[in-house]
Amino acid sequence: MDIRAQVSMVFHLDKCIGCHTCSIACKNIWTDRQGTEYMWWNNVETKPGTGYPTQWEDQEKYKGGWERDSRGRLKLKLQGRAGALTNIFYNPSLPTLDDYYEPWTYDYKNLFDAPEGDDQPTARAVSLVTGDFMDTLEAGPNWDDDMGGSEVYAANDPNVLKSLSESEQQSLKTLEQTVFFYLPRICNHCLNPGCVAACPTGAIYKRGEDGIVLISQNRCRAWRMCVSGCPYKKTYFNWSTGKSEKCILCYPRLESGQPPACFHSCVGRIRYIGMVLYDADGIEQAARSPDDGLVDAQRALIKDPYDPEVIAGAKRNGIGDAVITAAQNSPVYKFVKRWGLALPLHPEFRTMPMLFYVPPLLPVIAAIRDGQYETTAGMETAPADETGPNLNTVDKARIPMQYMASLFTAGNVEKIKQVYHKLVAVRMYMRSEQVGDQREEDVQEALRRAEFTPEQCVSVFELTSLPTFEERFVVPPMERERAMDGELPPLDPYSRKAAGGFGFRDAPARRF
Amino acid sequence: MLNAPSRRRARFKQVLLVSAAIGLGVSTTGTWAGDASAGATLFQQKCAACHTIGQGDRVGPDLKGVTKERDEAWLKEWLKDPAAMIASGDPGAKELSSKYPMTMPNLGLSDQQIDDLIAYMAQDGAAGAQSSAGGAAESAAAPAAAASAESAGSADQGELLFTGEASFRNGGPSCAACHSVAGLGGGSMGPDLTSTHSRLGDAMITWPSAMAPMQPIFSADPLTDSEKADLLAFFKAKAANPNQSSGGPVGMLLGLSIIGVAALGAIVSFVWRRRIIAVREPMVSGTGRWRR
Repeated sequence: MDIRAQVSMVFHLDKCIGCHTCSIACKNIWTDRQGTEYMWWNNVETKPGTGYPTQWEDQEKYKGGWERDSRGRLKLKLQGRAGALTNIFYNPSLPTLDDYYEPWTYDYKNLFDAPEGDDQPTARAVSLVTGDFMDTLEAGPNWDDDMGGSEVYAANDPNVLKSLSESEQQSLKTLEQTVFFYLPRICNHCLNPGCVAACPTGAIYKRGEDGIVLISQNRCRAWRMCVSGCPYKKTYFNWSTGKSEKCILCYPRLESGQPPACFHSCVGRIRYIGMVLYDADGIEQAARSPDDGLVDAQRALIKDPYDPEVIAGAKRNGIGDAVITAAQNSPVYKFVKRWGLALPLHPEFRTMPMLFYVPPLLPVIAAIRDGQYETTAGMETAPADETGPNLNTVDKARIPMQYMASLFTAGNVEKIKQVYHKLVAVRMYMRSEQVGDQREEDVQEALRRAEFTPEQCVSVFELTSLPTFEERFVVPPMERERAMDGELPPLDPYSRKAAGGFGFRDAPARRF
Repeated sequence: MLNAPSRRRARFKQVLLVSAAIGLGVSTTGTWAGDASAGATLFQQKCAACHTIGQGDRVGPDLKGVTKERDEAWLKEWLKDPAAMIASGDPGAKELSSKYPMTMPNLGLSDQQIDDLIAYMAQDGAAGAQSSAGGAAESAAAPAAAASAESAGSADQGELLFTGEASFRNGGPSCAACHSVAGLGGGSMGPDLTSTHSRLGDAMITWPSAMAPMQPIFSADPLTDSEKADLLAFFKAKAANPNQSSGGPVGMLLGLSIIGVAALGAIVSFVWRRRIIAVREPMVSGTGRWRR
């Protein structure tokens, strides 16, 4: 057993309102420099939709992540060593700027300086790459925002194309069936990162003390294999500095005692961050699991922070008490492991992403009753001769379960249904407690299907709907790895605040 | 103890010495390492504009007997870089620069060329005399035809005369010693003659015997009528079509480059045929294999 610590995340999609505040917070702090205009380390996508960059999930095009060869071994989908050598000066699987979008601003000055004329002056779009005027804007970082039934964007969602039959695809486009939800994405800080494996220079590393994946700006030599190697397309090439960049999980903020900016600013409070302890010895075996078993294999890597054996293993690896305590209080551990509610995004890429999602239980089922369209109808008790509508939410879901399975469980529909049964049980139990309009036998049936106790329902509800700042963000005090290793007493977190910023800095001595 | 690079340099020097020795053994002149007949051609091209052998001083001194006056090392150093030698304060070089106001230009000669020239000068122009005598015999044979064609000169022969590949009958220096034309190159002391004919017409051929810088050179060694006709034909053709002659090697190089680039492009697009060209654009426009 090789116990290590990882800063891990949960996004609760039921609470995401798609406001992009997280994206803007990140942009303002990290990517407002020249060369980074097109980068969105944090972005929010509408699903079904093609996302950013366009169709990033289609690895037949972008060649990101890992695949198993005929003998069950893992290899990068991009290329092996020979391929890396022959393609070193020309990576054929790079997205073009057009697949992201050409960033622009507006000529606001003209609004003030235009001479008097017959027409109202306008602020024309100006490219942030070339500086030329752009007559038509054809793409943006969230160009398909809210376009749930779009013939272009939703219909070309790789998950829709892959997992749904022709008739299901058609029904998603009909007005009554149109549905969408939001999917915020940041770097997953994977346990088995494709970007690290693809880098010919060895410039990318996973920080030993907290598992944050970083690109050394000193060592990066602009080969851009990481851009292709990451299946989530979360490393970006800065055309101005000639180095690749990616989400750094705001480690200067973490080290000064604050949650990352996108977490801190989240309006819907959908984001949770916390430490988990995992067994690094099992990563390869887990990443080689068959598609069906990937979710369980990854969950099995995360160890119980109360288990004395795990605690002893952690201490052997120099993990300090503060980190172990943080792991015991981690909201991520509860969502992922204790309740089994949060799932990794696209586990079939086999990078073992450490950002987990609670899938959205949307929409609340409505019904037309007496000619009225009532959204509360689904909440009321059904006639005695049928099963209550809430119980059927999973089977009657507007978004087909195959679609959600394609996103979160590598196509394993049973696995995603288990999660939905739990979400339905929590909703029905809390409704019966607080409003009292649920039939007792329906609630019992829901609890039985979810394998949840009423107490568990209450804990899930409390961490979902009523969590405090300290419950959502459980970050131990960090003074780089030394304080975490117990060599130093925890420092005043704000003593490091001024030193935070993007750029050249030395990598820590301990890195995996 | 020698380090690796200087050992390698030492070995390289040995090889040079051995090959030089073999060259000496083979050489027929015996005294000088250079090839006097190659030196004769070089002299015509590079030196004869300013120097003679046995026909008196012009821009520069008469070089008859120069190899007896100066030792070989001095000559070599002088020919390599005259300005540097004057600057170094060598008494012989200083004397020359005070006597002749025009400093001899650096001709960019290789060591072998210098050897050739010295070998030629050591014979006091004998090889040159022979070769120009031979040239005279040749041009005496051919030019009966040229004369009958009423000064309709041959542009090809003119080109040979211009570059110095064919000698002038009276031993004047080749035009390329001082002038250049597009595609052939030449000296930079006088103006480029590519399009001169279009400005001056046939009158340009009177310049060698009339105009200040050239007159002292060519008054002693005048051009013959057939040579003038050949040169005029050459300049006329050049002025009419400046790139024609250069079309040969340059055109071929251009053609080969285009074919090479096209072949490279074909190979690249085959090897990387599965590369990403664009994802968003074909998806939105509904072309390619993406459906709408």
